[in-house]
Amino acid sequence: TMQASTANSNRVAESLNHLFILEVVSTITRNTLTDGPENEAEALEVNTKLESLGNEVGYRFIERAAQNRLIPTEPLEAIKFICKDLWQDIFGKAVDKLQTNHRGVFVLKDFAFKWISRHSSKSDIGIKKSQAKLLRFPCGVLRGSLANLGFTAIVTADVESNDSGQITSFHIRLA
Amino acid sequence: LPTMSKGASRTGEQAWAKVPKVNGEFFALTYGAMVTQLVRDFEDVDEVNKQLEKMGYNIGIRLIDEFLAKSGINGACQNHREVADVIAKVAFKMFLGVVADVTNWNAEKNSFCLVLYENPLTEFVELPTEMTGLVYSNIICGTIRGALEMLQIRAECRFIRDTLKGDEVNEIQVNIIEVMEEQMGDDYNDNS
Repeated sequence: TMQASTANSNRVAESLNHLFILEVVSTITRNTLTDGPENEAEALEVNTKLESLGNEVGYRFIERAAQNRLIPTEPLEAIKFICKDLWQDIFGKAVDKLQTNHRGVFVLKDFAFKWISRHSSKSDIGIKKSQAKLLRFPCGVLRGSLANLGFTAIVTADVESNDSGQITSFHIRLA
Repeated sequence: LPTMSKGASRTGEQAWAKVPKVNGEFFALTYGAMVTQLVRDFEDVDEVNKQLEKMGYNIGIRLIDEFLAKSGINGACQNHREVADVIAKVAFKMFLGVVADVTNWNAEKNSFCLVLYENPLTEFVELPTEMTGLVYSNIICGTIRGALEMLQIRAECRFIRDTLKGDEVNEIQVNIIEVMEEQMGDDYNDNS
């Protein structure tokens, strides 16, 4: 499968990675805000920075993840590679569901996305905003990985709540 | 004392075996991108170092809960030496997958060093010559400081050797400044 190496030094605890990602979001937010509450321009700037960070990481990561492996060049196969192999590498599990309209639009659904709490209240606006902000980073990761595979993509994400928890969906539109 | 260290090593390995793990390269790349962003945002390298330490602190104060829940460590540490062993053999192992060596105790036994031969953060990193003031892995120092603070131990941590600056190993000095003794067991002994 995907994991190129199982050496200890090539893995870190998921809990640490999660706290680190949260702290990245926090720090970038804190450093972007001027005095007073966050305004729309600042929110956009934070989201852009997080997406851009993800893009850079995604681009570089797939380079290494793709060594010694045959990388698909056809869009659906490339997306499947990302859903299974890349997702497994980064999150320790594959994407749960993949949908496509066969015209360049793909929806990746994760029923237990690691960075989204399963116990968030459906109606908490603050939590929804934080989630949306945090999700810009993995959206960027997807955009960057696809870019390195030769695809230009626009990626957005959202979280839906249902009785069994939260479904995180990533929407990919290929140019 | 060697027995204590061996016990801690085994505890660390068992904890590491059990915790869910993710790709270390992805973590390292994300960290590198974050450092780059900070360097872009702040002209002063000292400010970047402070930002990294603060990030670590914020992580440490939360990571300690995960540590207490998953490490398998049952009781409170009895003295500074045990604290050092637990950090080096259990904490480093269960979160970063690597162990550190404890060295260089001072006479008062309230300062020690952690020697790291492998640093997961720096796998692909080379410091440009104009950035020699950057303490790239300062987040580790902050994490130790934050975690210890939650255990009522006030400490300062700093890198004294850094492989990114040409040293053979990474070495972090930990100075224990103050322990809130009322919070620790009556058996806690600062000077053993």
